[in-house]
Order: sequence, then C-alpha cells, then structure tokens
Amino acid sequence: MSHTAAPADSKTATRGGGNKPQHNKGKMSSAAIARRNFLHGVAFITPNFLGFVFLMLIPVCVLFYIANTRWSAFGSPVWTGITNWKRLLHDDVFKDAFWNTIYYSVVHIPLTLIIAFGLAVLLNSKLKGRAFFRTVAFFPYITSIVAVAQVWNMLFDAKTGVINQFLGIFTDNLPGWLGSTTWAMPAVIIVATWREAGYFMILLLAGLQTIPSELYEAAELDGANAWQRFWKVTVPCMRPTLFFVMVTLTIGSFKILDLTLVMTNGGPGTSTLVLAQYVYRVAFERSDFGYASTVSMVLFALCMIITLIQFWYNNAKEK
Amino acid sequence: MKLNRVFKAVAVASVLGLALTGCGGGGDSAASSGSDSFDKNAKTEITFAGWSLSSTPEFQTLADAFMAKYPNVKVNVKEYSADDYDKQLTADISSGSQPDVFPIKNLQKYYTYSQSGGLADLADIASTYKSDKNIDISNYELDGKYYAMPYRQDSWVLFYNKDMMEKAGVATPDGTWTWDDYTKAAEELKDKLPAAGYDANSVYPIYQHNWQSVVQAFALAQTGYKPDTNFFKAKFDYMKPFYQRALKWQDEKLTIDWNTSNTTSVQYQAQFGTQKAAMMPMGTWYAATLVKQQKSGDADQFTWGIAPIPQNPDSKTKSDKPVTFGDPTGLAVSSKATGQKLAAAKEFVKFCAGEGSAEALAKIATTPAYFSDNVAKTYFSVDGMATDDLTKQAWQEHDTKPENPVGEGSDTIISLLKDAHSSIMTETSNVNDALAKATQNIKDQGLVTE
Repeated sequence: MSHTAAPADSKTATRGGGNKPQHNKGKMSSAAIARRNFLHGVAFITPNFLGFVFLMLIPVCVLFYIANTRWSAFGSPVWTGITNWKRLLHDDVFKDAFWNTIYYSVVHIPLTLIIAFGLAVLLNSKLKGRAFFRTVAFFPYITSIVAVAQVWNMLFDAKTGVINQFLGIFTDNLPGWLGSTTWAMPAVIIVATWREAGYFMILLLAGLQTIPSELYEAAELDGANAWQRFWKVTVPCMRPTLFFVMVTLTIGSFKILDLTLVMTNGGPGTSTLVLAQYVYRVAFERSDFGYASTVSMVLFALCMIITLIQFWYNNAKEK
Repeated sequence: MKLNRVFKAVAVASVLGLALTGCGGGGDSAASSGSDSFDKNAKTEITFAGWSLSSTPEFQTLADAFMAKYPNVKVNVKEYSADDYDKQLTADISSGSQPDVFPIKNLQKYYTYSQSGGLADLADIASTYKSDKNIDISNYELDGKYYAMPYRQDSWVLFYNKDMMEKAGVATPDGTWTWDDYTKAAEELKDKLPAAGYDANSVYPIYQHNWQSVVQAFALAQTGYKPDTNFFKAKFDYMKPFYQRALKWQDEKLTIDWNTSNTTSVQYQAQFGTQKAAMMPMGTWYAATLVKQQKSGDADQFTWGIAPIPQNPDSKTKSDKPVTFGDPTGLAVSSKATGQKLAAAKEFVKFCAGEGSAEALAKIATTPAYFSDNVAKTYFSVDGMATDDLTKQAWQEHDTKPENPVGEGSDTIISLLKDAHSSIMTETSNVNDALAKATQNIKDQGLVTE
C-alpha cells in the first residue's frame, strides 16, 4: 500500500485505496469500512434471522428427527427408523390425500393464473369505472373464509341451491357438488379460484403498470397486433412478476387447508382430503405426531421440488 | 433434563406451527411442601381449567361450591378454548405446565392422556366411589388405575315434541320402543303431520344429527358392547343393521338428509327447538339448552318430553335398563402438583364426583355423574324442565356404555370410521365397502395384528 497522497494515487484514494487516517481525517481504511458494513449488515439482519432460526429453522430440523419416531406429544419421542415411511407406502388415506392435493393444484394453479391475468389486463386498460371493478375483484380475498364457505355451501346445495336451479334450466343431469365424491373437489376449486384470483390480479396489475408504454407504441408502429403485443411485450416484461405469482400460488395450493376444512372437512369419504388436513388429522385427532411429521415431510418435499423446478426454469429463461 | 424439556417444547411448537397457529400459555404448578393429607385450614390455591366460561357455568359452579365448603382453598378457573381444548391441553401437558385440575372432555383422548405421565393416579378417590351404586367410575379404570373421576355423565335419550305428536294423532313413546317402533312412528308422522298443519317441505318426523356417534356408538352399545372383540379388531359388521336403518330414514325423507345437514351445518337445537322435527335422539345436555332457549325465545313454546332411547330390535339379551351410550366428563389431577396443592386438588376432584357438587350442577340443569334421588329432585325442579314420569325414568335409569372405547389406537380407529360414516351417509359408497375400507385402513396403520 502506498503511504503518501501522490497525485497518481488521488483517484484510487477515493475508493479507499490506501490513504492514512492522519492525512484524511474522518475517512476510514478499507478494512474498517468492510468491518463497519459487516456489523451494520448483521445488525439489520439479526432480528429477522433470529426469528427465522428459532421459529423456522430449528423446528424444521426437529421435524426431520420426529418424522422418524413414534411420539404422542407426551414423553420423549421413540426412534423407530423407517417404520413411518413404510407406513406411508401402505396408507390408502395418505395416497388419497396426496393425489387430491395434486388434483387440486393442477387444476387450481392454471385456472387462477389465467383468470387473474385476464382480469389484470382487462382492468389495466382504460375502462370506465375500473377502480370499482378492481375493488370488486379484490373483494373475495378480504372476506372471512368461514362465512364465505357457508354461503357457497348453500349455493352448492344439490336440491335447493341457486347453482343447481340455474343449471336445471339446461340439463336434468345435475351434479351433486359437495355431496358427491366426483364433484366435491371441483366445487372447492371453484371457490378457491373465486377467492384468490382477485389477490393475484392486484399483484399482476402492479407488474403491468411497470411496463413502459413506449414499448407498446414502438410495437404498434412496427405493425404488431394486440395478440402479438401481448405475447412479445407484455409476457416477457412480466416474467419477474409472473414468477413470483407462480411460486406463491403453487406453494399456497399445495398447502391448501382452510377451505376444505370448512367446506367439506375432507369429505365425502376422503374425496377432498388434502395433505395439510391429513397432517392435522393424524396429529391432533389421533395424537400420532411422529407419523404426522412424516406426512408433513412429504408435503414439504413436494413444495420444495416444484419450487426448485420453477426457479430452474425461470433462470434458464432469463439467460 | 432441561434441554429435553426445551426440545419437547420446540417440537410441539413446530408441529403446532405447521398445522395451526399458536398454542396455549402456561399455568403455574409451583410445588409447595407439606404433608399429603388434605388440611382444610391451610391456605391453598389451585388452578382449574374450563372452557367457554361465560356460556358454560359448570366450572365456576363447581369451584364456588367447593370454596363454600372449604373457604381456605382458592380455586382459580382458567379459561381454555372449547374447540381447541385438547390441543391446548396437549401442549400444556407436554411442557409440564398443565393446571392442577383439568377436565377430560371425553374418552377418545383419555388413553393418550393416561399414558402421558402428566396425570396423577386417583386410586384413593376411586376406592371411595367404587361400590357406590349412584355413580359409575368404571370407564376410567385402566389396569386397576384411575387417572380421572367423572363429574358429568350425559347419556343419549330420545327427545320428542308431545304437541306435534298429539296433534298428528301418533302415539308418544312409552319407554318400550325398539328402533323398528321408532321407524314406524316416524313413517306414521310423515303421513299425518301435513294434515295437522305442518309444512311438508320443512317439517320432518325425526332429526338424525350428522355425527358418527349417532349411528356407530348406538351400534356398539346395543350389540352387547364388546369393543375388544369387534371395535379394536376392526370388525365392524355389527354396525350394518344400524346403518341400514339410518339410510332408510333418509331415503324415506323422515329426516333431513346427511348431506344437507352436514354441508349447511344444521343446528340440531334449531331443528328440534323450532319444531322442524318431532323426535330427536340426543344427549341429555340438550335439556338444559332447550329450557334456556324456550325461556329466551330462541326455541318455540311447546310441551316436550324425554323417553329412553329405542332399543336394538335384533338384540337377543334383554337388559333391565335401556342400553344407550355417552361419555362421562371427568376431572384429572396434574402429576406435577405436590404437597398441600396435590391434596387440595384431589379433594376437589373427589368433591366434584360426589353428591354435593351433583346437586349444584343439577340446579343449573347440568346432568351430573352422581345420580341420587336428591339430585334427581333438584334437577327436575328446574323451571321449564319436563317433569313427566317417563322423562324422569329416562334421565335416571339407563345402562350407559362409553361412546369411545378406551384403549390403544382408539382415536385413530374413530378418525378412520369418521371417513366411513361420511361415505356411507352421502351414499357415495355402500355400507359393506365403506366398512371394509375402514377395516383395511386400520390394519394398514398397524393397529390390528392377526
């Protein structure tokens, strides 16, 4: 490191190259700056990190252990090795719950995304009273889920419900909705989509408004039609927002619990039982916390894999 | 030791956190030293868990009655959530912070709790009541040990609306009915109620509530109650005739169908209380609600009565008392309590199981576990209570089997039978298939070994 403030060094000096404190009072050495920045960084991150460690990281690590034990929440867990994992393979209720979760996600994610995106594009245009319609679309998200489920349950009533009375105009072969093993899941998906589309619409709308209007003008001048403008301008510009929406939507769908709990309680039979509810049941109805942890590990792995795939795909597309 | 406790607390919190939010707070179980026999002059404070205190006066009633008898003992009632009581209690017991005295809501979780090490053995109290014919404590016996004592013993009876049945000209229950007689009366009501001025679209002869116990627990109790040879062996054939009857009632539209009842959360209180059903099997706790609702106007004014629950028409053995089911509600003492605190807690539990507290409970129309003539007199002097002889007989004389058999795996079996119940009653699966599936699932959980 140089010692004197030679003219040649004056440029680097501003970058903290090597000027001595006695020459430049109030300035710090690079090591001191690095240390200060580090401490400031740590100070900022500590509250959040501590919360994360104690409320998330440690419990999750403990969960890995409990998943291999037999434990009723009392006394100490008894290590049972892979017994719980073997049970999973023979557990028909678990299999039902697993496939129900996949079924729900596979239908719910694209449906919600399409509707939310459609609404966002529509309400981003210069529509009369669009503030009103935005509020209306967002409304379902802020209503109480228990109250909403009650109202929908009445609407879905196979005999006296409004939905079947309307469908009765067109067909005699009416679905049994919540009382039927075939139709209960579609009914749940309809309500979930209705509830969440508005929320994701707001997120997408925020994304749409960051797209510079010059891009559209340029595309228009080049003779692109509305459809081309959508695919060549809107979608690429929306990639970060879409990625965020996809990830939260996916994780939310795999973790669905509240809606099935209040609408159908997993029924009829096990036709709307999802993984999160199965975890809840095994843990709290059957006091089998070890096995419940095993099932929740599967749910965790499922969310993890799908999210990693999405990250990988997004990174590949960005390059 | 300490690390172990922290570990357990973290583990419970993690599982709770995954499925739910938060868990109950701690209580105090600070030990005090002293002799183990109860000294009524010693200043002692004990904590006592209860739920929904504003609408469930029984906990404060018990505490007040005890404090009136022993003024030096202070019973602090601690509020828990009614719906999440078992979850909160589980978290408390596993971290060793359970209250000194706490209720065991029903028998489903009793076995799990008894194995937790958090409950004190109450054998000395049991010896007081073992040979008392006014109270039945046998449901809490586990290999000669008792971890709880009953203070309430509700049992299922048949509620009926005398006005509706008399207007329609259908004979009211006479105490000898089987389920076939019940079905016949319901069919007759179906024909005659519209002519008596009741709306055929909204008024039904009976109301069959959507709980699994309304079919399954009657089946278990009325086929000889042999859980060790059928229930715990996952052999559910004994339920079949009971399910066939339940399906017949719903197919003939004698009751609101299960689906509607379940998806629209029909309140059984409203169904019977607003005269939408003329007969309804329900637990004796409903009498207190009905009395209260008739006073407040939430229920219509009509004359009602209680009859013994209809009996199994296929039963080979005749019991001298009507066989029904119902779980006792019990009180347990924390194993963390010591010295005078433990002695006071035990004395409190002993008091709650006895005649003194039974009368206090009867005064607020709650069915206690101790059925003496004095208690019956108090119960039926409650203003608004039905007082005919059949009602009194139905309330006092019955052979009540547990709703939930006590043993290892019972909560898992009950949980899987709940799925079967929903499949059968929505008629998405026939009785044989649904029960066979339940059997298979129970075997797959490793609960039944052959």
